[in-house]
Amino acid sequence: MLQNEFKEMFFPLKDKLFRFAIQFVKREDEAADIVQDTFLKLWVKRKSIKDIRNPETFAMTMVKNASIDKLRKLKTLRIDEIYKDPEYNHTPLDSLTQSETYAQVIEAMKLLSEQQQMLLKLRDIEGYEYNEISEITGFSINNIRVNISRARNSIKERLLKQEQNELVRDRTTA
Amino acid sequence: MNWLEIERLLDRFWKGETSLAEEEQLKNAFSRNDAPAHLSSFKIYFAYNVDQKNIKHPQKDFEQKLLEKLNSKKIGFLSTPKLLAYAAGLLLLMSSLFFLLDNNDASKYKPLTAKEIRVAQKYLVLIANNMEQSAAFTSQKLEKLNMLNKGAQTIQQYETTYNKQIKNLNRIEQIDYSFNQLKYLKAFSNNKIKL
Repeated sequence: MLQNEFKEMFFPLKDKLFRFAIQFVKREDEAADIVQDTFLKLWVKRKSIKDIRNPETFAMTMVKNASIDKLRKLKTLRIDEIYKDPEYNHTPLDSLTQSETYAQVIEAMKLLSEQQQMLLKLRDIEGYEYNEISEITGFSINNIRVNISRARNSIKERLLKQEQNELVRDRTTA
Repeated sequence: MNWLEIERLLDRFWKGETSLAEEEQLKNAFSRNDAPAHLSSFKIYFAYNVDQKNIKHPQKDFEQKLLEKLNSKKIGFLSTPKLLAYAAGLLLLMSSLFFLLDNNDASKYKPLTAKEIRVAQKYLVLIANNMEQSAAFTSQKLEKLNMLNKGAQTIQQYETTYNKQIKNLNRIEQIDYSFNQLKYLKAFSNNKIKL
């Protein structure tokens, strides 16, 4: 595979890979490192990439595995060392996670398991088909469908509940 | 906008029964400002997903820097053909030593069959892959060390890299040793069959 082909195939994925990595490691610098390492590994494997059916899901799988490895390494650090890191609390997600606009969704998301959050983001944000999510995560399509359905229903219930609470609050203040 | 249709789609969406195209329809519908009141609380979920998708990689010059890395010799200095050549040479040397040191009559060994050659090739590819991965890993680590420019840490990390390389070399030696053992066992079993 020539460099131009490699560039055309993988460079447009950089934002998607970054978003996926940051979901796991929650740190901008770590996520950027993971994406760079993934690109370098892909370049090393470039000769065998043509045999891979879906290079995009292959790259996403590599990011997932690298992120899990990185998390394991980070967990070996003392937790206070991580929180002392001034960059820890400055991820691009913060503008969204701290945003009041999305507070209800963030709260609803927090009630989901890590697995459900990952599946929901792959489907509802990145727009992957169920079979592609299966390739990335290694879960069965049925398992993915069930978990996404449960996760969406949980969010729906939470949003409805919050709406009802707001209505009650408005009535009592009025 | 046919909100009855959207509501029907939304019911299927919560159940995980919608296709990507239908989900796109929902996103488009909820990006409008005329959603009925009883559906308005769901608008925020679709807006959140759209905003999340706008998160970009923070390094503006990421592609340029990556291209520089890809073009650097560190990535390609141990290419697969070179590695295969080194591995083949190493294997040949060890095989020669094995035969020289062996007291048995060399004539009892048959030339390698096609299957044995395939097995040997498989091992060579495995060795090559391992060495290439470790080379890429090492080059990345070395680059980071240069950037940090901290003498003491540099020495410590060089030691780590060195130990990893030794481990990899040991692993390759173990593979070679196992391969030779297999060959020996194969030859031995052939002899046994003859007897």
